[in-house]
Amino acid sequence: MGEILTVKGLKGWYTADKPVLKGLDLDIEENSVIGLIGLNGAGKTTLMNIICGLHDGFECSSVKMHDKAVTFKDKAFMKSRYIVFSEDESFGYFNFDEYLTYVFGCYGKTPDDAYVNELVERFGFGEHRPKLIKDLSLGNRRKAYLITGFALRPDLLLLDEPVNGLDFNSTETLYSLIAGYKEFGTVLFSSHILESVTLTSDKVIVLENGVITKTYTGSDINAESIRASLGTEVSEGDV
Amino acid sequence: MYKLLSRKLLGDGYKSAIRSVLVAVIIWFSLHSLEKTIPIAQKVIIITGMFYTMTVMIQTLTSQDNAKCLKGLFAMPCDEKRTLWEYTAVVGIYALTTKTSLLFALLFAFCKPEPLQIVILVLSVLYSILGTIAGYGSFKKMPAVTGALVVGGIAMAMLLPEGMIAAAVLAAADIVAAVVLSLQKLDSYRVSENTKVKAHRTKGKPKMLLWRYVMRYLAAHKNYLLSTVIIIAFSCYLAINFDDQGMKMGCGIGLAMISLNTPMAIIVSSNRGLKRKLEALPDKTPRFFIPYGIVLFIFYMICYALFLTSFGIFGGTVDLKAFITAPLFAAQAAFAAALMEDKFTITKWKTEPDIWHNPRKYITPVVLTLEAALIYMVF
Repeated sequence: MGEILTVKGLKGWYTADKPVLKGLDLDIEENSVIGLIGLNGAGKTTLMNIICGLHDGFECSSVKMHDKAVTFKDKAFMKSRYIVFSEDESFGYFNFDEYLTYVFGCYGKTPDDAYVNELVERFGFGEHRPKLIKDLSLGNRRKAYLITGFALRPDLLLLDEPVNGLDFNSTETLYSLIAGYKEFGTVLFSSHILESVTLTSDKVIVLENGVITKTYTGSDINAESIRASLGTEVSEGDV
Repeated sequence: MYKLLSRKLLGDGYKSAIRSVLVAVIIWFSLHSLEKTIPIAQKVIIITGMFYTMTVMIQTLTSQDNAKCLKGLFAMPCDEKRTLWEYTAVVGIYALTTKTSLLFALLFAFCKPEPLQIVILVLSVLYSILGTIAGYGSFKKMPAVTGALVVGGIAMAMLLPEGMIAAAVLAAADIVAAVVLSLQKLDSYRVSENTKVKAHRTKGKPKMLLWRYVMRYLAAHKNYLLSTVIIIAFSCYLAINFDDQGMKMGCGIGLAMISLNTPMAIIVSSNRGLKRKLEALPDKTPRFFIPYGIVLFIFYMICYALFLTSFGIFGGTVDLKAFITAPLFAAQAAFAAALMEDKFTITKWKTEPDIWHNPRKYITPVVLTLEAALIYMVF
């Protein structure tokens, strides 16, 4: 299995004297699910934003997509990834179908209507489809963005704390979709919910104080060892 | 209440207000030192001051951003009357110091008003503040009172003669507005969020996405439509005045003034989430900003059509030059707005009026005014 994205020596900051990311190396394998966990302020969202070209305060020794040097703002790289933000109030005056059409247009793709309908049904989103995104509740808005992401099937799907605001059934659906995404590409997602990474991930990266302190793979991915590495921030109820 | 509100609108220790006044003084001093005099009728100064202050007041009172702050403040136990006057004071000081002061700096840099004219101006701006807040408070339960205050304001701006009579009438109007304001209840000033959810069903593949988006954005903000109508009316009035004074470029200046219409040109700046999403999605220029520019062009053309029709009806000269200038100006205004929203998005703002009155908005009208002068001088 090759890497879709490799980043070496990534440093990120908001103010130069206080780096958030302190020289981390990241290997994101093709067709895999990678969970990113860490305490508040560990740098998870900053890392996601840098990968999406949204944060300029960074430097790194190399960025490669499929072993070819790229920048995070290269058009080819941008068209290979999609992000669902942890908080999002964009395109509030579109309904779901309009948003979906707009996003697919940006990626030069045509939606698979049958698959979109299936996702809408699985997330229990049907009755909210014609509503404007601004009128949706936090959870339903999150569903609209998630359905778009999964329907788009980018090579790299980034999800920043995707579980927040979702009801029980939708959370189950989300876990199932994340785990099954390997068929289409790679999911890199951050979470505070330990269960979400243990149930879905092929690799779990622990981010602490701006560096990757531990990486778990295969049978090493279990709640006890991950919780031990994080201290008590991840609550028992989350597992 | 006063401290909390003033900290939000005027800055810690009035820093933001003081800074704005200092900027206004610097602008006035720099322009005044050019020793250029432009004859501007007292009526034009009063109308400009009144309508501009009124617009800022309405924008501040209806601001969703302030609504979040007020929601908590109005929930606290307080002396209603005192709080209402404090609210009036903060919003009024905010409008005067951070917005109207800049306008007056520009106007007074080129003309020398008499003391009585200054008194009249102060009284008219005071009417804008008291009348707008009183009219806003009356709107839901007594719309006739709001209507009377608006009609009264317009009538005074248009019909008042110069001199002591104007001062006396304006002083009386200020007292009436203050009395109406004192009868209001604090509850009338809550900005409620729209809770009605309307379905927008899509048949087949949705088309003309940006057109739909922008039209819904406008429909959701009725005050934006109102401000558009006010700007068209103001531009028409200004153009007719220039025309009457024998300045042939009145029509061109009126067209240029319409590009001051901000709400359509801040659709990205006013939504940080949209800005971030556009940056994260590929092809933002062809997929968003070009269609956005086209929608703006159509919108400006509709405004120009309304302007030219009104201008013609009220006796202005609408000639071939106007019909050639209008699409050229609409295209430039649309292009400039789309370009600035893409490359120079306003991101450092605290309250919505900070976006509406960002200096960026004056670039296009100034350029178009200069072009209008050039076109009407050369041809």
